[in-house]
Amino acid sequence: MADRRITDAELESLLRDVGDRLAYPDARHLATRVRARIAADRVERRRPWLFALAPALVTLLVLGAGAYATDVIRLRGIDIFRGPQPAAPVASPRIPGATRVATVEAAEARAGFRPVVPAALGRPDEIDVVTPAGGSSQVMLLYAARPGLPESQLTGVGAVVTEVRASLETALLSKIAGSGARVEQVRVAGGPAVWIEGAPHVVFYREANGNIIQDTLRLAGNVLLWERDGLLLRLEAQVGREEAVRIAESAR
Amino acid sequence: MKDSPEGRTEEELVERARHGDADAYGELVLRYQGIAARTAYVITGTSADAEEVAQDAFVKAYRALDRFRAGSPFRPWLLRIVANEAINRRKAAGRHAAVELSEAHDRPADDTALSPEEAAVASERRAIVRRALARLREDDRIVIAYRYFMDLSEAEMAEALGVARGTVKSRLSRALARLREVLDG
Repeated sequence: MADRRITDAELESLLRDVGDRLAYPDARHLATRVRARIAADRVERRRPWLFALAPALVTLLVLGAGAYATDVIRLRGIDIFRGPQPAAPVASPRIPGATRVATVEAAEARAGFRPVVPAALGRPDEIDVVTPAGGSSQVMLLYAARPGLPESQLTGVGAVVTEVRASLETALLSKIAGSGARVEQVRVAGGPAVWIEGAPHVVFYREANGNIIQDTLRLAGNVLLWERDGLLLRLEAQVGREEAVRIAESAR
Repeated sequence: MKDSPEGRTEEELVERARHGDADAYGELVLRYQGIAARTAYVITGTSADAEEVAQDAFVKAYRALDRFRAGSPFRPWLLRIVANEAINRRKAAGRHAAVELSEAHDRPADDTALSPEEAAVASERRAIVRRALARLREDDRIVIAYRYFMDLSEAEMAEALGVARGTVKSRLSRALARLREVLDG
């Protein structure tokens, strides 16, 4: 490159100079983008049906601490895997944008499907429907705390049943189970179900504009997921597994 | 292992991030976004690709935190993920390893001590070295970049390259020899 061979020291100095002046990309916004993607990524990669739920609830996280042997459970389309612990939750059982309706019939008219009601829980104290534009509706049955159905410290209610038209085969409902949660495959009326115990949950929403939002509003402790009549159902209550299965099997 | 403004060490940040603390991970990204983007650029040779590679690598690293060996340095572990991501992207796009490296235009001139003629010569010398680097195999380019562009220590280079510490020196000297061959050739 020159008349004489440059020395090692000269080459090193030249290399440092070259390195200082390269047209590196602007990395200033990486942290913001990475954080947004981490929140969205968990949801987007595996769960196509959840896209249709905007801005409805798309997935739940189970959080906890300590080691648990079950890292991944796959149950006919439900992926459950251990993930990082989300930020501290805020106690409220309500989904923003939900419409409160008076009766199961009104919920059916709004949601486009007839929600099943677990007879074991009696009449719901509140029925909410989320109907996102162009997405699948979700019905939530809320039950006040009472003897045998203790109030969740997180939700302030006794039980929440969430229903969405989806099946376990096609629905990919993600639960990122924290290491403190117990995750088990169980049966409800002979069909497959998943029981998650011992840790609260954080919910992700997908906004109409496509953004995935980590929502810490809706939380509960123990959760049973099962399928019935083309609906994917989720019971969240501070009850044991057998009681949860009994409640689920009473759904009519 | 520098402390964060709040006095958290890298090890603490990693530990918090492993437990889902997005703020802690965000701080790690802030700390290493520059070097990650530079590493990606040296391999991809384009700013746009490098930025995407760095983003993808940070997301992958976050997902892989469970596999991170507690107490070991985060930076070289991350750079290894960045470099793999960059190489994979290049291969997936069917591009050759040779790239074009450009000089930043917006960099303020600091050659004021040089005469215009000397500055022109210095600029030409840099261009020659850039072109030679761009023609190297990417593993040679990356070892030179780690040493001279990013000032990684030998231990960090070993970790980032995934080689034994004892082989870092020979890898570097081989890469420099090949750079010289290109320069002289």
